[in-house]
Amino acid sequence: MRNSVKVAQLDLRTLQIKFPWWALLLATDAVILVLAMLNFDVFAIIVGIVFGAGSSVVMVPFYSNQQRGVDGLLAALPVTRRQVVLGHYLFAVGVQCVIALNLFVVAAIYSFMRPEDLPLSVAAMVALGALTFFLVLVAVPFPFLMRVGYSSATIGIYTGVIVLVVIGLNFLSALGDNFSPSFTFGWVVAGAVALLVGSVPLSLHWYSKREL
Amino acid sequence: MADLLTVKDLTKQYQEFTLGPLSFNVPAGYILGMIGPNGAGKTTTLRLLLDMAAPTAGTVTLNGDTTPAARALARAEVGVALDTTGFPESWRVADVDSAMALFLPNWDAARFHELIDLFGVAKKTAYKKLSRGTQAKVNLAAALSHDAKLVILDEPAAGLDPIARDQLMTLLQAYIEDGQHSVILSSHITGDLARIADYLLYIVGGHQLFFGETATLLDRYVLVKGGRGKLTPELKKLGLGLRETAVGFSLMMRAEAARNLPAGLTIEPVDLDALMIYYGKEVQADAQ
Repeated sequence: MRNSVKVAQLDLRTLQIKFPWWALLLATDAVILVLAMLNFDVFAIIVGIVFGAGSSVVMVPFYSNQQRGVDGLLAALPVTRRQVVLGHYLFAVGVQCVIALNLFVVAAIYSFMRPEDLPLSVAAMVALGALTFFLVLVAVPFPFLMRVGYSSATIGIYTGVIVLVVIGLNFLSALGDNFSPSFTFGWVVAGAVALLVGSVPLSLHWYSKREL
Repeated sequence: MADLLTVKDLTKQYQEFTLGPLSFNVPAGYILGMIGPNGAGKTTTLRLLLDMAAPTAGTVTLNGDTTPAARALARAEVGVALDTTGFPESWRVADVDSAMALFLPNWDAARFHELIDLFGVAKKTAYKKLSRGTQAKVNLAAALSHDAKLVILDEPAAGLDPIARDQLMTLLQAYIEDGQHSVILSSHITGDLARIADYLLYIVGGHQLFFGETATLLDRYVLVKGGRGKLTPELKKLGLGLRETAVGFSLMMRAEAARNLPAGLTIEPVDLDALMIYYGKEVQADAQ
Protein backbone atom coordinates (compact mmCIF):
# COMPACT_ATOMS: atom_id res chain seq x y z
CA MET A 1 0.00 0.00 0.00
CA ARG A 2 2.85 2.37 0.82
CA ASN A 3 4.23 1.98 -2.67
CA SER A 4 0.80 2.71 -4.20
CA VAL A 5 0.64 5.90 -2.14
CA LYS A 6 4.07 6.81 -3.52
CA VAL A 7 2.85 6.25 -7.08
CA ALA A 8 -0.16 8.48 -6.32
CA GLN A 9 2.24 11.11 -4.99
CA LEU A 10 4.31 10.80 -8.17
CA ASP A 11 1.14 11.31 -10.23
CA LEU A 12 0.39 14.41 -8.19
CA ARG A 13 3.86 15.73 -8.97
CA THR A 14 3.18 15.43 -12.70
CA LEU A 15 0.42 18.04 -12.26
CA GLN A 16 2.97 20.78 -11.98
CA ILE A 17 1.66 24.15 -12.90
CA LYS A 18 3.13 27.55 -12.14
CA PHE A 19 1.31 27.71 -8.80
CA PRO A 20 0.62 25.01 -6.21
CA TRP A 21 -2.66 23.21 -7.00
CA TRP A 22 -4.28 24.21 -3.74
CA ALA A 23 -3.50 27.89 -4.37
CA LEU A 24 -5.13 27.64 -7.80
CA LEU A 25 -8.17 25.96 -6.27
CA LEU A 26 -8.53 28.62 -3.58
CA ALA A 27 -8.09 31.43 -6.13
CA THR A 28 -10.81 29.92 -8.35
CA ASP A 29 -13.11 29.57 -5.33
CA ALA A 30 -12.49 33.18 -4.35
CA VAL A 31 -13.27 34.46 -7.87
CA ILE A 32 -16.51 32.43 -7.97
CA LEU A 33 -17.64 33.72 -4.57
CA VAL A 34 -16.81 37.32 -5.46
CA LEU A 35 -18.85 36.96 -8.67
CA ALA A 36 -21.68 35.49 -6.61
CA MET A 37 -21.55 38.49 -4.24
CA LEU A 38 -21.80 40.74 -7.29
CA ASN A 39 -25.02 38.92 -8.21
CA PHE A 40 -23.63 37.01 -11.18
CA ASP A 41 -25.21 33.64 -11.87
CA VAL A 42 -22.17 31.51 -11.05
CA PHE A 43 -23.80 28.10 -10.99
CA ALA A 44 -23.03 27.40 -14.66
CA ILE A 45 -19.44 28.62 -14.18
CA ILE A 46 -18.97 26.32 -11.19
CA VAL A 47 -20.32 23.31 -13.05
CA GLY A 48 -18.14 24.08 -16.10
CA ILE A 49 -14.95 24.53 -14.11
CA VAL A 50 -15.53 21.52 -11.89
CA PHE A 51 -16.36 19.12 -14.69
CA GLY A 52 -13.57 20.44 -16.93
CA ALA A 53 -10.98 20.23 -14.16
CA GLY A 54 -12.24 16.89 -12.95
CA SER A 55 -12.02 15.30 -16.38
CA SER A 56 -8.64 16.70 -17.35
CA VAL A 57 -6.72 16.37 -14.09
CA VAL A 58 -6.99 12.57 -13.91
CA MET A 59 -5.55 12.28 -17.40
CA VAL A 60 -2.44 14.39 -16.78
CA PRO A 61 -0.28 11.57 -15.38
CA PHE A 62 -1.12 9.42 -18.40
CA TYR A 63 -0.39 12.29 -20.78
CA SER A 64 2.90 12.80 -19.02
CA ASN A 65 3.62 9.07 -19.26
CA GLN A 66 2.98 9.16 -22.97
CA GLN A 67 5.22 12.15 -23.54
CA ARG A 68 8.22 10.97 -21.59
CA GLY A 69 7.87 7.26 -21.07
CA VAL A 70 7.21 7.66 -17.36
CA ASP A 71 5.68 4.18 -17.38
CA GLY A 72 9.21 3.03 -18.18
CA LEU A 73 10.53 5.08 -15.29
CA LEU A 74 8.04 3.38 -12.96
CA ALA A 75 9.15 0.02 -14.34
CA ALA A 76 12.67 0.90 -13.27
CA LEU A 77 11.63 1.76 -9.71
CA PRO A 78 10.97 -0.74 -6.91
CA VAL A 79 7.21 -0.94 -7.39
CA THR A 80 5.16 -3.80 -8.81
CA ARG A 81 2.70 -3.27 -11.64
CA ARG A 82 -0.14 -3.93 -9.23
CA GLN A 83 1.09 -1.10 -7.00
CA VAL A 84 1.37 1.20 -10.04
CA VAL A 85 -2.26 0.57 -11.03
CA LEU A 86 -3.57 0.99 -7.49
CA GLY A 87 -1.51 4.17 -7.16
CA HIS A 88 -3.09 5.64 -10.31
CA TYR A 89 -6.57 4.83 -8.94
CA LEU A 90 -5.69 6.30 -5.57
CA PHE A 91 -4.51 9.49 -7.21
CA ALA A 92 -7.55 9.82 -9.47
CA VAL A 93 -10.16 9.07 -6.80
CA GLY A 94 -8.30 11.27 -4.29
CA VAL A 95 -8.22 14.22 -6.68
CA GLN A 96 -11.89 13.76 -7.57
CA CYS A 97 -12.85 13.66 -3.87
CA VAL A 98 -10.93 16.88 -3.24
CA ILE A 99 -12.61 18.59 -6.21
CA ALA A 100 -16.07 17.36 -5.16
CA LEU A 101 -15.48 18.41 -1.54
CA ASN A 102 -14.29 21.81 -2.71
CA LEU A 103 -17.38 22.08 -4.89
CA PHE A 104 -19.55 21.32 -1.89
CA VAL A 105 -17.80 23.95 0.26
CA VAL A 106 -18.16 26.63 -2.44
CA ALA A 107 -21.77 25.64 -3.11
CA ALA A 108 -22.52 25.69 0.63
CA ILE A 109 -21.07 29.20 0.98
CA TYR A 110 -23.04 30.27 -2.09
CA SER A 111 -26.15 28.67 -0.59
CA PHE A 112 -25.56 30.58 2.66
CA MET A 113 -25.25 33.83 0.69
CA ARG A 114 -28.19 33.21 -1.64
CA PRO A 115 -30.37 30.46 -0.16
CA GLU A 116 -33.22 31.27 -2.55
CA ASP A 117 -30.99 30.38 -5.55
CA LEU A 118 -29.33 27.26 -4.18
CA PRO A 119 -30.69 25.43 -1.11
CA LEU A 120 -28.03 23.55 0.88
CA SER A 121 -29.63 20.18 0.09
CA VAL A 122 -29.29 20.89 -3.63
CA ALA A 123 -25.68 22.00 -3.11
CA ALA A 124 -24.94 18.67 -1.45
CA MET A 125 -26.67 16.79 -4.27
CA VAL A 126 -24.65 18.72 -6.86
CA ALA A 127 -21.36 17.83 -5.14
CA LEU A 128 -22.34 14.18 -4.76
CA GLY A 129 -23.52 14.13 -8.39
CA ALA A 130 -20.18 15.53 -9.50
CA LEU A 131 -18.32 12.91 -7.48
CA THR A 132 -20.48 10.20 -9.03
CA PHE A 133 -19.72 11.46 -12.52
CA PHE A 134 -16.02 11.59 -11.64
CA LEU A 135 -16.06 8.01 -10.38
CA VAL A 136 -17.53 6.91 -13.72
CA LEU A 137 -14.89 9.01 -15.42
CA VAL A 138 -12.21 6.98 -13.64
CA ALA A 139 -13.93 3.60 -13.80
CA VAL A 140 -14.59 3.53 -17.54
CA PRO A 141 -11.39 4.88 -19.11
CA PHE A 142 -8.79 3.57 -16.69
CA PRO A 143 -8.79 -0.07 -17.84
CA PHE A 144 -8.37 1.13 -21.45
CA LEU A 145 -5.60 3.53 -20.44
CA MET A 146 -3.84 0.67 -18.71
CA ARG A 147 -4.30 -1.58 -21.72
CA VAL A 148 -3.36 0.63 -24.66
CA GLY A 149 -1.86 3.82 -23.23
CA TYR A 150 -2.95 7.43 -23.40
CA SER A 151 -2.71 8.27 -27.09
CA SER A 152 -4.71 5.31 -28.35
CA ALA A 153 -7.27 5.49 -25.57
CA THR A 154 -8.13 9.21 -25.60
CA ILE A 155 -10.91 9.21 -28.19
CA GLY A 156 -12.35 5.96 -26.90
CA ILE A 157 -12.33 7.24 -23.34
CA TYR A 158 -14.47 10.30 -23.98
CA THR A 159 -16.76 8.49 -26.43
CA GLY A 160 -17.30 5.78 -23.82
CA VAL A 161 -18.05 8.26 -21.06
CA ILE A 162 -20.46 10.26 -23.24
CA VAL A 163 -22.29 7.08 -24.29
CA LEU A 164 -22.47 5.95 -20.68
CA VAL A 165 -23.77 9.33 -19.48
CA VAL A 166 -26.45 9.46 -22.22
CA ILE A 167 -27.61 5.91 -21.41
CA GLY A 168 -27.45 6.73 -17.70
CA LEU A 169 -29.54 9.88 -18.07
CA ASN A 170 -32.21 8.02 -20.05
CA PHE A 171 -32.21 5.24 -17.46
CA LEU A 172 -32.47 7.83 -14.69
CA SER A 173 -35.33 9.56 -16.40
CA ALA A 174 -37.21 6.25 -16.64
CA LEU A 175 -36.35 5.43 -13.04
CA GLY A 176 -37.37 8.89 -11.86
CA ASP A 177 -40.88 8.35 -13.21
CA ASN A 178 -41.41 5.45 -10.82
CA PHE A 179 -39.25 6.17 -7.77
CA SER A 180 -38.36 9.10 -5.52
CA PRO A 181 -35.37 11.31 -6.55
CA SER A 182 -33.32 10.29 -3.50
CA PHE A 183 -33.92 6.57 -4.20
CA THR A 184 -32.89 7.04 -7.83
CA PHE A 185 -29.87 9.11 -6.86
CA GLY A 186 -28.79 6.52 -4.32
CA TRP A 187 -28.83 3.81 -6.97
CA VAL A 188 -26.81 5.98 -9.34
CA VAL A 189 -24.13 6.57 -6.72
CA ALA A 190 -24.06 2.86 -5.83
CA GLY A 191 -23.80 1.99 -9.52
CA ALA A 192 -20.84 4.34 -9.99
CA VAL A 193 -19.04 2.89 -6.97
CA ALA A 194 -19.69 -0.66 -8.24
CA LEU A 195 -18.38 0.33 -11.67
CA LEU A 196 -15.22 1.74 -10.08
CA VAL A 197 -14.63 -1.33 -7.92
CA GLY A 198 -15.22 -3.58 -10.92
CA SER A 199 -12.78 -1.68 -13.11
CA VAL A 200 -9.84 -2.20 -10.74
CA PRO A 201 -9.27 -5.94 -11.42
CA LEU A 202 -9.66 -5.31 -15.15
CA SER A 203 -7.01 -2.58 -15.00
CA LEU A 204 -4.72 -4.81 -12.94
CA HIS A 205 -5.08 -7.62 -15.45
CA TRP A 206 -4.52 -5.46 -18.52
CA TYR A 207 -1.60 -3.51 -17.09
CA SER A 208 0.10 -6.74 -16.04
CA LYS A 209 0.06 -7.84 -19.70
CA ARG A 210 1.04 -4.54 -21.27
CA GLU A 211 4.45 -3.92 -22.81
CA LEU A 212 5.96 -0.70 -21.55
CA MET B 1 32.42 -14.02 -7.79
CA ALA B 2 28.60 -13.77 -7.39
CA ASP B 3 26.43 -13.06 -10.40
CA LEU B 4 24.17 -10.05 -10.03
CA LEU B 5 22.25 -11.08 -13.11
CA THR B 6 21.82 -14.44 -14.80
CA VAL B 7 19.90 -14.85 -18.03
CA LYS B 8 19.14 -18.29 -19.40
CA ASP B 9 17.59 -19.07 -22.79
CA LEU B 10 15.72 -15.77 -22.81
CA THR B 11 13.47 -15.57 -25.87
CA LYS B 12 10.97 -13.03 -27.07
CA GLN B 13 8.84 -13.78 -30.10
CA TYR B 14 7.17 -10.96 -32.00
CA GLN B 15 5.28 -11.29 -35.25
CA GLU B 16 8.22 -10.20 -37.37
CA PHE B 17 11.16 -10.53 -35.01
CA THR B 18 12.50 -13.14 -32.67
CA LEU B 19 15.05 -12.35 -30.02
CA GLY B 20 17.15 -15.08 -28.55
CA PRO B 21 17.63 -17.49 -27.05
CA LEU B 22 20.05 -15.37 -25.03
CA SER B 23 22.16 -16.70 -22.19
CA PHE B 24 24.60 -14.57 -20.26
CA ASN B 25 25.51 -13.48 -16.77
CA VAL B 26 26.92 -10.38 -15.11
CA PRO B 27 29.28 -10.99 -12.19
CA ALA B 28 29.68 -8.36 -9.49
CA GLY B 29 32.45 -5.91 -10.25
CA TYR B 30 32.34 -6.04 -14.04
CA ILE B 31 30.97 -4.14 -17.01
CA LEU B 32 29.00 -5.97 -19.68
CA GLY B 33 28.82 -4.22 -23.02
CA MET B 34 25.99 -5.01 -25.42
CA ILE B 35 26.81 -4.45 -29.05
CA GLY B 36 24.96 -5.00 -32.28
CA PRO B 37 23.55 -3.02 -35.20
CA ASN B 38 20.25 -1.12 -35.09
CA GLY B 39 17.33 -3.47 -34.60
CA ALA B 40 19.56 -6.24 -33.24
CA GLY B 41 17.46 -6.54 -30.09
CA LYS B 42 19.63 -4.74 -27.52
CA THR B 43 16.88 -2.49 -26.19
CA THR B 44 14.37 -5.36 -26.24
CA THR B 45 16.81 -7.38 -24.14
CA LEU B 46 17.09 -4.58 -21.60
CA ARG B 47 13.29 -4.21 -21.52
CA LEU B 48 12.98 -7.94 -20.81
CA LEU B 49 15.49 -7.66 -17.99
CA LEU B 50 13.35 -4.90 -16.46
CA ASP B 51 10.05 -6.78 -17.00
CA MET B 52 8.80 -4.04 -19.28
CA ALA B 53 7.87 -6.89 -21.61
CA ALA B 54 7.22 -10.53 -20.79
CA PRO B 55 9.58 -13.09 -22.31
CA THR B 56 8.19 -15.91 -24.45
CA ALA B 57 10.61 -18.31 -22.77
CA GLY B 58 13.66 -18.34 -20.53
CA THR B 59 14.56 -17.04 -17.09
CA VAL B 60 16.00 -13.86 -15.64
CA THR B 61 17.52 -13.97 -12.17
CA LEU B 62 18.20 -10.53 -10.75
CA ASN B 63 20.18 -10.57 -7.55
CA GLY B 64 18.65 -13.97 -6.70
CA ASP B 65 15.05 -13.02 -7.56
CA THR B 66 13.35 -14.96 -10.34
CA THR B 67 9.72 -13.74 -10.46
CA PRO B 68 8.63 -10.41 -11.99
CA ALA B 69 7.09 -9.17 -8.71
CA ALA B 70 10.21 -10.06 -6.69
CA ARG B 71 12.46 -8.49 -9.33
CA ALA B 72 10.31 -5.35 -9.27
CA LEU B 73 10.80 -4.90 -5.55
CA ALA B 74 14.53 -5.63 -5.94
CA ARG B 75 14.89 -2.67 -8.26
CA ALA B 76 15.99 -0.42 -5.44
CA GLU B 77 19.31 -2.15 -6.18
CA VAL B 78 19.14 -1.34 -9.89
CA GLY B 79 19.91 1.98 -11.57
CA VAL B 80 18.33 2.45 -14.97
CA ALA B 81 18.71 4.98 -17.77
CA LEU B 82 16.92 3.94 -20.93
CA ASP B 83 16.85 5.74 -24.25
CA THR B 84 13.05 5.67 -24.32
CA THR B 85 12.17 6.79 -20.81
CA GLY B 86 12.58 10.02 -18.95
CA PHE B 87 10.97 12.35 -16.48
CA PRO B 88 7.77 14.42 -16.74
CA GLU B 89 8.21 17.49 -18.93
CA SER B 90 7.71 20.13 -16.27
CA TRP B 91 10.12 18.62 -13.75
CA ARG B 92 13.31 20.37 -12.77
CA VAL B 93 16.38 18.79 -11.16
CA ALA B 94 14.89 19.34 -7.67
CA ASP B 95 11.71 17.48 -8.69
CA VAL B 96 13.72 14.51 -9.96
CA ASP B 97 15.66 14.54 -6.70
CA SER B 98 12.56 14.50 -4.48
CA ALA B 99 10.73 11.91 -6.62
CA MET B 100 13.66 9.50 -6.60
CA ALA B 101 14.09 9.99 -2.84
CA LEU B 102 10.46 8.91 -2.46
CA PHE B 103 11.09 5.48 -3.98
CA LEU B 104 14.75 4.68 -3.40
CA PRO B 105 15.85 4.06 0.19
CA ASN B 106 19.53 4.57 -0.65
CA TRP B 107 18.97 7.75 -2.62
CA ASP B 108 21.97 10.07 -2.19
CA ALA B 109 20.82 13.61 -2.96
CA ALA B 110 24.32 15.02 -2.44
CA ARG B 111 25.76 12.57 -4.97
CA PHE B 112 22.95 13.38 -7.44
CA HIS B 113 23.63 17.12 -7.26
CA GLU B 114 27.36 16.45 -7.49
CA LEU B 115 26.81 14.56 -10.76
CA ILE B 116 24.38 17.19 -12.04
CA ASP B 117 27.06 19.83 -11.38
CA LEU B 118 29.75 17.65 -12.98
CA PHE B 119 27.61 17.25 -16.11
CA GLY B 120 26.84 20.99 -16.15
CA VAL B 121 23.04 20.59 -16.14
CA ALA B 122 21.02 23.78 -15.60
CA LYS B 123 19.07 23.04 -12.41
CA LYS B 124 16.23 25.49 -12.91
CA THR B 125 15.38 24.46 -16.46
CA ALA B 126 12.37 22.21 -17.06
CA TYR B 127 13.22 18.72 -18.33
CA LYS B 128 11.45 19.25 -21.66
CA LYS B 129 13.53 22.37 -22.38
CA LEU B 130 16.82 20.53 -21.93
CA SER B 131 18.63 19.22 -25.00
CA ARG B 132 18.52 15.47 -25.61
CA GLY B 133 22.09 15.11 -24.40
CA THR B 134 21.37 17.06 -21.22
CA GLN B 135 18.24 15.00 -20.57
CA ALA B 136 20.43 11.92 -20.89
CA LYS B 137 22.78 13.42 -18.29
CA VAL B 138 19.88 13.90 -15.83
CA ASN B 139 18.81 10.28 -16.43
CA LEU B 140 22.38 9.10 -15.86
CA ALA B 141 22.81 11.13 -12.69
CA ALA B 142 19.57 9.61 -11.35
CA ALA B 143 20.70 6.08 -12.25
CA LEU B 144 24.06 6.51 -10.52
CA SER B 145 22.92 8.17 -7.28
CA HIS B 146 21.46 5.40 -5.16
CA ASP B 147 24.34 3.00 -4.85
CA ALA B 148 22.63 0.51 -7.19
CA LYS B 149 24.37 -2.85 -7.36
CA LEU B 150 23.52 -3.12 -11.05
CA VAL B 151 23.30 -0.15 -13.40
CA ILE B 152 21.58 -0.67 -16.76
CA LEU B 153 22.27 1.98 -19.39
CA ASP B 154 20.81 1.99 -22.88
CA GLU B 155 22.83 4.08 -25.33
CA PRO B 156 23.88 6.48 -22.58
CA ALA B 157 26.53 8.13 -24.74
CA ALA B 158 24.30 8.68 -27.78
CA GLY B 159 23.57 12.37 -27.15
CA LEU B 160 26.78 13.19 -25.29
CA ASP B 161 29.71 15.22 -26.55
CA PRO B 162 33.20 13.61 -26.38
CA ILE B 163 34.03 15.32 -23.07
CA ALA B 164 30.85 14.12 -21.39
CA ARG B 165 31.37 10.64 -22.87
CA ASP B 166 34.85 10.51 -21.41
CA GLN B 167 33.48 11.65 -18.03
CA LEU B 168 30.85 8.92 -18.18
CA MET B 169 33.33 6.15 -19.01
CA THR B 170 35.60 7.27 -16.17
CA LEU B 171 32.61 7.37 -13.80
CA LEU B 172 31.50 3.88 -14.76
CA GLN B 173 34.98 2.47 -14.28
CA ALA B 174 35.16 4.06 -10.84
CA TYR B 175 31.65 2.78 -10.06
CA ILE B 176 32.63 -0.89 -10.34
CA GLU B 177 36.04 -0.55 -8.74
CA ASP B 178 34.95 -1.86 -5.32
CA GLY B 179 33.94 -5.19 -6.87
CA GLN B 180 30.37 -4.90 -5.55
CA HIS B 181 28.76 -3.03 -8.44
CA SER B 182 28.21 -3.93 -12.09
CA VAL B 183 27.11 -2.14 -15.22
CA ILE B 184 25.27 -3.29 -18.34
CA LEU B 185 25.93 -0.85 -21.12
CA SER B 186 24.37 -0.92 -24.55
CA SER B 187 26.12 1.31 -27.06
CA HIS B 188 26.87 1.85 -30.71
CA ILE B 189 30.10 3.58 -29.77
CA THR B 190 32.31 0.54 -29.85
CA GLY B 191 35.46 2.49 -28.97
CA ASP B 192 33.97 3.28 -25.57
CA LEU B 193 32.93 -0.32 -25.03
CA ALA B 194 36.34 -1.68 -26.01
CA ARG B 195 37.82 0.67 -23.46
CA ILE B 196 35.71 -0.26 -20.46
CA ALA B 197 33.70 -3.47 -21.08
CA ASP B 198 35.07 -6.60 -19.41
CA TYR B 199 32.46 -8.78 -21.09
CA LEU B 200 30.61 -8.41 -24.36
CA LEU B 201 27.24 -9.62 -25.52
CA TYR B 202 27.08 -9.41 -29.30
CA ILE B 203 23.61 -9.61 -30.84
CA VAL B 204 22.76 -9.46 -34.54
CA GLY B 205 19.21 -9.84 -35.86
CA GLY B 206 18.03 -11.14 -32.50
CA HIS B 207 20.69 -13.88 -32.40
CA GLN B 208 23.36 -14.04 -29.74
CA LEU B 209 26.64 -14.33 -31.64
CA PHE B 210 28.96 -14.06 -28.70
CA PHE B 211 29.05 -13.73 -24.96
CA GLY B 212 32.33 -13.70 -23.12
CA GLU B 213 35.37 -11.62 -22.28
CA THR B 214 36.07 -8.76 -24.63
CA ALA B 215 39.67 -9.83 -25.16
CA THR B 216 38.54 -13.38 -26.02
CA LEU B 217 36.23 -12.08 -28.70
CA LEU B 218 38.85 -9.83 -30.22
CA ASP B 219 41.55 -12.53 -30.06
CA ARG B 220 39.28 -14.93 -31.87
CA TYR B 221 39.39 -13.03 -35.17
CA VAL B 222 41.98 -11.33 -37.40
CA LEU B 223 41.83 -9.08 -40.40
CA VAL B 224 43.74 -10.33 -43.45
CA LYS B 225 44.70 -7.71 -46.03
CA GLY B 226 46.29 -7.97 -49.45
CA GLY B 227 46.26 -6.90 -53.10
CA ARG B 228 43.35 -7.93 -55.34
CA GLY B 229 45.35 -10.67 -57.02
CA LYS B 230 45.89 -12.41 -53.69
CA LEU B 231 42.18 -12.99 -53.08
CA THR B 232 41.72 -16.59 -54.10
CA PRO B 233 38.45 -18.59 -53.88
CA GLU B 234 40.04 -20.72 -51.13
CA LEU B 235 40.82 -17.62 -49.12
CA LYS B 236 37.29 -16.30 -49.61
CA LYS B 237 35.91 -19.54 -48.18
CA LEU B 238 37.87 -18.98 -44.97
CA GLY B 239 36.51 -15.47 -44.54
CA LEU B 240 33.63 -14.37 -42.33
CA GLY B 241 33.38 -10.93 -43.87
CA LEU B 242 34.95 -9.38 -46.94
CA ARG B 243 35.53 -5.84 -48.04
CA GLU B 244 37.02 -5.16 -51.50
CA THR B 245 38.45 -1.95 -52.91
CA ALA B 246 39.94 -1.08 -56.33
CA VAL B 247 43.41 -2.06 -55.16
CA GLY B 248 42.95 -4.73 -52.57
CA PHE B 249 40.79 -6.49 -50.01
CA SER B 250 40.42 -7.02 -46.31
CA LEU B 251 38.94 -10.23 -45.02
CA MET B 252 37.95 -11.04 -41.47
CA MET B 253 38.48 -14.64 -40.43
CA ARG B 254 38.98 -16.80 -37.37
CA ALA B 255 42.53 -16.46 -35.98
CA GLU B 256 43.24 -20.19 -36.28
CA ALA B 257 42.26 -20.15 -39.96
CA ALA B 258 44.89 -17.47 -40.61
CA ARG B 259 47.81 -19.56 -39.39
CA ASN B 260 48.80 -21.10 -42.73
CA LEU B 261 48.10 -18.34 -45.18
CA PRO B 262 50.25 -17.77 -48.29
CA ALA B 263 53.00 -15.17 -48.14
CA GLY B 264 52.32 -11.57 -49.12
CA LEU B 265 49.28 -11.11 -46.93
CA THR B 266 49.13 -8.84 -43.88
CA ILE B 267 47.45 -10.05 -40.71
CA GLU B 268 46.10 -7.43 -38.30
CA PRO B 269 44.11 -7.64 -35.07
CA VAL B 270 40.44 -6.63 -35.29
CA ASP B 271 38.78 -3.96 -33.24
CA LEU B 272 35.11 -3.94 -32.24
CA ASP B 273 34.13 -1.63 -35.08
CA ALA B 274 35.67 -3.93 -37.68
CA LEU B 275 34.10 -6.93 -36.01
CA MET B 276 30.65 -5.37 -36.12
CA ILE B 277 31.03 -4.23 -39.72
CA TYR B 278 32.43 -7.45 -41.17
CA TYR B 279 30.74 -10.06 -39.04
CA GLY B 280 27.44 -8.24 -38.72
CA LYS B 281 27.17 -7.77 -42.48
CA GLU B 282 27.91 -11.40 -43.11
CA VAL B 283 25.34 -12.65 -40.62
CA GLN B 284 22.73 -10.24 -41.90
CA ALA B 285 23.41 -11.40 -45.46
CA ASP B 286 23.01 -15.01 -44.32
CA ALA B 287 19.74 -14.16 -42.63
CA GLN B 288 18.41 -12.62 -45.84
